[in-house]
Amino acid sequence: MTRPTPVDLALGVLDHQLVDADGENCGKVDELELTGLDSASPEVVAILVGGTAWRTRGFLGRIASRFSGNAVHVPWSEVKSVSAVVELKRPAAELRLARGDDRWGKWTAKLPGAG
Amino acid sequence: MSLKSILAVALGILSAIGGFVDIGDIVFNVQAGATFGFQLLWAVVIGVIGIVVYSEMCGRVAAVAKRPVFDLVRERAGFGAGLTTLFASEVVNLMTCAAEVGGVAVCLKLLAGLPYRLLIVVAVVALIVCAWRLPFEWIERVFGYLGLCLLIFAVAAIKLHPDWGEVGRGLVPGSHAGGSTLVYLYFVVGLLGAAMTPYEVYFYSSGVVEDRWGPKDLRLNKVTAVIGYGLGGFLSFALMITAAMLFLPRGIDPELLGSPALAAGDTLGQIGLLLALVGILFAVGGAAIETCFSGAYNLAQFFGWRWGKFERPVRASRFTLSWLVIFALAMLVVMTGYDPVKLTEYAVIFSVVALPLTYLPILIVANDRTYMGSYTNGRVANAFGIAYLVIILAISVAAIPLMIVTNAGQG
Amino acid sequence: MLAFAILGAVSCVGCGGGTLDAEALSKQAEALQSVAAEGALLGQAAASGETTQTFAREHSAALSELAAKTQESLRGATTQPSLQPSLRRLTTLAADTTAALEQLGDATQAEQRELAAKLRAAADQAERIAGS
Repeated sequence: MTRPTPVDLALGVLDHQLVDADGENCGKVDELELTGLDSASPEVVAILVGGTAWRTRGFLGRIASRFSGNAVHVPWSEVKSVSAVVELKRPAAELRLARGDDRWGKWTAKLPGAG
Repeated sequence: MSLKSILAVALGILSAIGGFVDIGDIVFNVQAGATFGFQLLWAVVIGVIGIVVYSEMCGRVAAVAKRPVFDLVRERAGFGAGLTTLFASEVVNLMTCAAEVGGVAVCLKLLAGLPYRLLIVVAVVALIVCAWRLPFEWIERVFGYLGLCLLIFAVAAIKLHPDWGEVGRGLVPGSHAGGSTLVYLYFVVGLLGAAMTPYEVYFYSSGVVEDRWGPKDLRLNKVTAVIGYGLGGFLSFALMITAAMLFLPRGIDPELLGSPALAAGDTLGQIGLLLALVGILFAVGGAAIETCFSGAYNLAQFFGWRWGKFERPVRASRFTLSWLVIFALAMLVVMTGYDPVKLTEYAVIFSVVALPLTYLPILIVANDRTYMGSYTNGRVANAFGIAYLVIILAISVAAIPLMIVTNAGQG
Repeated sequence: MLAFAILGAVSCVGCGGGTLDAEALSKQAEALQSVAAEGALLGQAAASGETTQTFAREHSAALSELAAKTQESLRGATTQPSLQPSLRRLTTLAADTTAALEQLGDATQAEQRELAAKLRAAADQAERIAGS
C-alpha cells in the first residue's frame, strides 16, 4: 500500500470545486468541519457547502451568509478523491447538493427551448 | 498541417480580428485621433501586446488545467479576495454590457430611424435570441465576420493619404506636441483600458474549456491570440488615423457613434457609411454577448454552479438565469436614456481601476505548477506579465483622478 | 456611492446659467464650434449623396441636441462686462446652429449645401470667439 500523501487542507481542498459521481459541478468546498483538534489525530469530519458555511470565511463571508440558506454537510466518507477538484462518490442530488440548480430549473424549464 | 486545420486557424483569426474592437475601443480611438492626431498610436500597440500576453496565459491555463481562470481565482486567492474580485468584475461587466447594448441601439437608429427606446428592446431581444439559440462557434463567426466590415476604416485611412512618416512617429512613445498633458495621459489610460478589458480574457478562457481544448492546442492558442488580436489592433489604428485626418483639422470633438460612420461616409460614400455602421453594429453586438456571458461565467465559477452553453439550460439553470438577468439589467440601464458614449467612457475607466484585481490572479495561476504542470509561464511570459502588471497598477491608480481632472477628456 | 458622486461631479459641466469666466466661455465656444463643424461636414456629405437620408436625419438630430445643450447653458448666463458682446454673439450662434441642424435632416440636397455653408461659417465664428 502506498504511503498516503499529505493533503494541504488550506490550499488543496478549501475553496475547491466539488464534482459529483456524474462529473457535474455541485458547489465549492466552502468550509471544513474538523474534530479532535486537541488530540493527536485531528480529522476532517465533513465538507460544508453553501450558505451558513460562509460565516467563518471573513467579513465578506459573514455578509454573504446572511443571504443564503443553511449549509449542506457532506461527510468526508463521501469523498472519492482529492486532486484539482474534490470528487464525490455519489450524484449531487443524493447528497442534497446543487439544489439551487434544480430549484431554479423549474423556472428555466418554462422558457422555450430550455431542454 | 492539413488544409482543414489551416482553414480552421484562419477562421479563428478572422473572428478574433472582428471581435477585438468594442464600443470602448471605438470611442477612445476616435476621440484620441481627433484630439492628438497620430500621437497616441503607440498606446494602442502597448495595449494590444498586453492583451495578447494575458489572453495567451488564460488560454493556456484553461487548456492545461481544464478550468477557466476565474474558477481558479477563489482557490488561489481565497474566499474574501475572490468575492471582492467577483463583485468588482460584475459591476464593471454590467456597465460595459449596458454601454455595448446602447451602442447597438444607436447603430440601429442610424440605420433604421425608429424610436430609440424601441430599438433598445429590439437589440436586447435579438441578442438574447442569438445567445440562446446559436452555438458559440456560430456566435463568434457571425459577429466576428460581420465585425470585419470595420476594415472599411482601413480603406478610408489609406484613401485619406496620411503622412505615413508622421504615422510611424506616432507608433513610438514620445512626448506630445500641443494639447494638455493631462488629457494626453487620460487618453493613454483609456486606450490601454479599452484594449485590455478583463471580460475578453475571462470569456476566452471559459470558451477554451467549453471547446475542450487540451495541451495539444496550445500552439493554436498562441497563434490565434497573437495574429487575431494583433490584426485587431490595426482596426484601432484605422479608427484613430481616420479621425485624425478628418476631425482634428476641423476641430471636431466626436461625441456620437455616428461620427466615425460619418467619417467613413465622407471618405467613401454611402457604401462606406453603411459598412461602417454594420461593422460597428456587429462588433459592439458581439461584445455585448461576451460581456454578458463573462458576468454569468464569473458568478457560476465562483459559487461552483454548473455552467456552460454546452449544458442544457434546465441543468445549468442558475448560470442561464444569470446571463438573462444581466441582459435585462443592462437594458434597464440603457433605458434610463443615459448617453451610451458617456457610459462607455465610465465603463472603460472603471474597468481600468479593477484591472490589477483581475489580472494578478491570472499571472499567479499561470505560474502554479499544481494546475499547470510543465506548462507554467516561461521567462518571456513572466517578464511581459510582470511588466504589464506594473503598467496596470500605474494606470489603475491614475485613472479616476485623470478622469475627474480632465473632465473625461474634455480638458 | 463614490461612483455616483464622481459621475455627478464630472457630468455637471455647463449646468445651465451661472457666471462664465473667460475660460468657461471659451470652452462653450469650442463645444459649439465642434458641433457646427461636424454639422457642416454632415451637410456637405448629405448634399453629395454620401449618406443615407435616414442617417442624415438621425445624426443631424443628435447634433442639434448637442447644440441645444450649449444653447441652454448659455441662456441666462452672465459674464464680466468686457465679455458681454462675445457672450451675446455666442448665444445667437448657438441658436442659429441648433436651428440649422434641425432643418438639415429633411432638407433637399441644395438646401443641405446651403445649411452646410451656414454651419461652417458659424463654426468659424465660434472659433474666433474661443480664441479671443
